[in-house]
Amino acid sequence: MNKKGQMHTIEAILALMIIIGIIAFAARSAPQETQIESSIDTQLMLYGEDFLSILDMENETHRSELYDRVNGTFGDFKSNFSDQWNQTNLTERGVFYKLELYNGTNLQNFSAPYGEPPQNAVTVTRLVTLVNTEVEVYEVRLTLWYI
Amino acid sequence: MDDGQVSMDFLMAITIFALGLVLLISQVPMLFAPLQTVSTDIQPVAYRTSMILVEDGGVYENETTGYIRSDWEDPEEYGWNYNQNCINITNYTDNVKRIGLAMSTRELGWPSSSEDIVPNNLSVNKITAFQDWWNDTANQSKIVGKLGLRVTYNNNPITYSYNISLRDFDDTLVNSSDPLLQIGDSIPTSGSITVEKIERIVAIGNTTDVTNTTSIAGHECAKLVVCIWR
Repeated sequence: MNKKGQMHTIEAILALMIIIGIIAFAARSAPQETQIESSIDTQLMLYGEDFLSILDMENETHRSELYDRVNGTFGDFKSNFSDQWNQTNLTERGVFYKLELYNGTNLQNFSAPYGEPPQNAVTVTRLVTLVNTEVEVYEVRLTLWYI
Repeated sequence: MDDGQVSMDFLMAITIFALGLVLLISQVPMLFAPLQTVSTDIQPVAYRTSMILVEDGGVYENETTGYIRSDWEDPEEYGWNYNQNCINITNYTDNVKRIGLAMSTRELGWPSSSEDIVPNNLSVNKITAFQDWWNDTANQSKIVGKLGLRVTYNNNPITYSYNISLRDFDDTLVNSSDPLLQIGDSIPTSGSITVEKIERIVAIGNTTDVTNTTSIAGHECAKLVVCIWR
């Protein structure tokens, strides 16, 4: 049995561990990972803001689809939102959503057809002011995430 | 010599020291920031470019009166197209300070509106003027400056490459036979170049004769796809 040969092997293994350890740490601190993460967040935020912006695009009388839907029943709002969202093909591309309506004191209702969002989901909001017998302010909350 | 070249004690010590050092360095935020400019600055630039195009109407400065307005595609309100503007207005392309595609409320015919432009609602006239400008090879090189893609960083001039197109949600070009908007350089598909892509959902206003769009809430909608790289 050659004990000197064993020493060479141990040295090689330890050297390999050092190299792998440093590479692993360097890879973790490399910028690409955070950039991809931030890029995904930005894209989700833009999808949400753009979609709500288009739903809330005013006509000449300063009314919008979003205004009319918030002014109606939440059931209609949910199904209409789902129909409009499906037009974008985003669900097929792995972008799921949760829709909520907040009236300033509590969540009125919510629609989560794809379950609860994960921790890294992105939430965008849009305020809708209803002018009926009294003024009511609603916050439409749209939470988006990738699967 | 048959003995190991390095002692066990030294190996253990250097392992602990190296791992500790790397861990310490990785905990210091922004330590590598000066070295990351190439890879990290492209995403904000793509974001900004998409913002300029989708949420801004552009800036046109009348060099005689000094007035600034957003309807750069028809600043004299004669209904001229891009080529007519170039012929009839002195220094037209220089007077356009920034290119934006959001529709001016004047074009919508809302005299009572307090807003100057409608974000996310793109003007088909501005889109057409933008495409015509790209097709005008004599003035094509000016576009990069009007989109804010020629900047100075640490006294070094930086010019970004771009590719901008309007696509339906299945990625077909809007008006696929004669694309409504498809400008810029070819997107590199090989090599180590980082290409940052931002997609914006937009409505295309004041038009009835475009194909490959999708109706959302009564608006003809598509994606504005902005790709930026260096």
